Amino acid sequence: MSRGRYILRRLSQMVPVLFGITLIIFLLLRLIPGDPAILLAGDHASDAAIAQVRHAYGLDRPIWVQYLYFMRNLFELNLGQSLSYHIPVASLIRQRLPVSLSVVVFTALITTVVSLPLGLLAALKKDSWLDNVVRSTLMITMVMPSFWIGIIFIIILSINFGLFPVSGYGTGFGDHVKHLFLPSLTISLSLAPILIRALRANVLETMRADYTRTARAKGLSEGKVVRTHVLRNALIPWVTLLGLSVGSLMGGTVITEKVFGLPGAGALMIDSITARDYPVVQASTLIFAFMVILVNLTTDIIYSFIDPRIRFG
Amino acid sequence: MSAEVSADLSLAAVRLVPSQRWWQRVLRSRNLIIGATVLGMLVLVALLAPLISPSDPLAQDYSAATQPPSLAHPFGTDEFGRDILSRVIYGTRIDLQVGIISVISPFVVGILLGALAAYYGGWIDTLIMRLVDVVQGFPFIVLIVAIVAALGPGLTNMYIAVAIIAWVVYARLIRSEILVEKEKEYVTAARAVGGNDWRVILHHIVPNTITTCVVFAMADIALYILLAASLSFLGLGAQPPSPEWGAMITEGQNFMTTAWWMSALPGLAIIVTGVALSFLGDGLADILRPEWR
Repeated sequence: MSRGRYILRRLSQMVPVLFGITLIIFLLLRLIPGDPAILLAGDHASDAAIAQVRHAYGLDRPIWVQYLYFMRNLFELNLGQSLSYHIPVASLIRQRLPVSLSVVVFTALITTVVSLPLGLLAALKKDSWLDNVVRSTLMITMVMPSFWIGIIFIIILSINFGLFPVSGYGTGFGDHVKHLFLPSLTISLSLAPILIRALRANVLETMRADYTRTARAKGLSEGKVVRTHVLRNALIPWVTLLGLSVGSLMGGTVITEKVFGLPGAGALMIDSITARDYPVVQASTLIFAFMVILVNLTTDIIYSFIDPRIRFG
Repeated sequence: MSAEVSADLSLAAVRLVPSQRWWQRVLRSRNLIIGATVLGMLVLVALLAPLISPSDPLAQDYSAATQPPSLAHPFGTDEFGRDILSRVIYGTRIDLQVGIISVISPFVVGILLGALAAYYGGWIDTLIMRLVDVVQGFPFIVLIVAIVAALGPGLTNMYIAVAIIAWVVYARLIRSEILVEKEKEYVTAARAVGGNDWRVILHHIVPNTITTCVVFAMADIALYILLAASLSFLGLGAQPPSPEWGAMITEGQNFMTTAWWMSALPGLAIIVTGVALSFLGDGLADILRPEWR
């Protein structure tokens, strides 16, 4: 099978998944006790406003027709009207999403910079003191609640030493970076353990592979064996794992944005839950899912390019 | 390919160490002993909470509000003068319960559905695995938060949300194990002697493939404790004045400039529990899956 057909097939597999995701989002609103029309129009809406929402969402029709209404609105990028901000949900999310995406990108960057050398060194110096220190540290950072780390960071680094701003997003690129550093580091601490462990295992596995033995046997220096044979092969599955971790990374933004007072989509979702602003809750859940799907798809496609051994079976 | 290799390795490992009984392996696994000891102590603390905690976890004493750790209050007091050590001790009850209750339903349902998918294949497999794909299309915490937000805050609704979605991980794990396992001779033999499908799945295949899930469940218990804590932080989990550890960290956040102990110490309790569970998981892996070492 050619790569083009592989990508096409991968895309067609998305259809049922996207269908399922929209169905879950649609049903979520029906889990809430009460009339969906009132939930969508707001607690204090007038009867006319409720009637209008009921009509726009088809809420007086059978439930499967309501789902079709929901999908039609989705295709028209009509995500409804925010009850607390009184602007279309789509434009609200468009304002907030860049903040979350910056956190995601920054976190991925920090995680990579930290994980690559640590995972590689831990594997090359297996069972040394370094390996043991890395592994026991990871065991601890993995089970630290991320909001707790965030609070501790703020207490020590921001309040006591004044190194970082306590909260907010700042203005201008340099200021953003300063504000985003601690939130991104916080998420990295729970993400890096998985990636470092995986890289260590991958490197150890490739070190035992036949082609590595061949490379050594033909007289290559150890450094060259590691660089061109071990590292390359160990990195391919690792990059995939990094891509797949973006899902949990985005989940991490929901909490970290709240700790650090960042005006991102995650914080928006939580604030909207408190404010009973259900159109926004619905839409932000949907956006998070779409982004995960998109990143996973991209990861698979990139994987098919970087690993020449992949069979499109 | 790699799965077959590991299956062969497991046979090799079994053959190479025939003289080792399971309890010999238990005693030789340092991980298991450390993990089980610490966790055992935590369980004791939870059970004996009324006997060992210095005071009532909810008792307020404004004359002793916001005091740093001292001999009288080893973990300090909070803004209502409640003794934080007593609250952390009572929190052990809540958080251990949360972890264990949460894991049961995903474990059982995931293994059953995953086994069905792998054993029967065909449309059953497609249906179940598509469902898994859909659920995994969401960031885990976002979907949990969305469901709990719809059902209303509280730990019971967290259990419901977890039961609805967390089975997918176990289904995926056991499915990939069973796909390898079901081609083995003992399965054919079990079928040949007339075992019906359920008997073959539950008595032969699942016991031989469940170890990965058991090991994973230990890490998962820690994950649910973290999840409960996070939900408390977002206002969707345990409600005040409950001494749930996450709720305590959250209350302390308002006093982080003046009273670091209010957030820091309950967080340590979560870490100790999580690390103990990691050791226990690694230890179980040592004795159940010696080929992983």
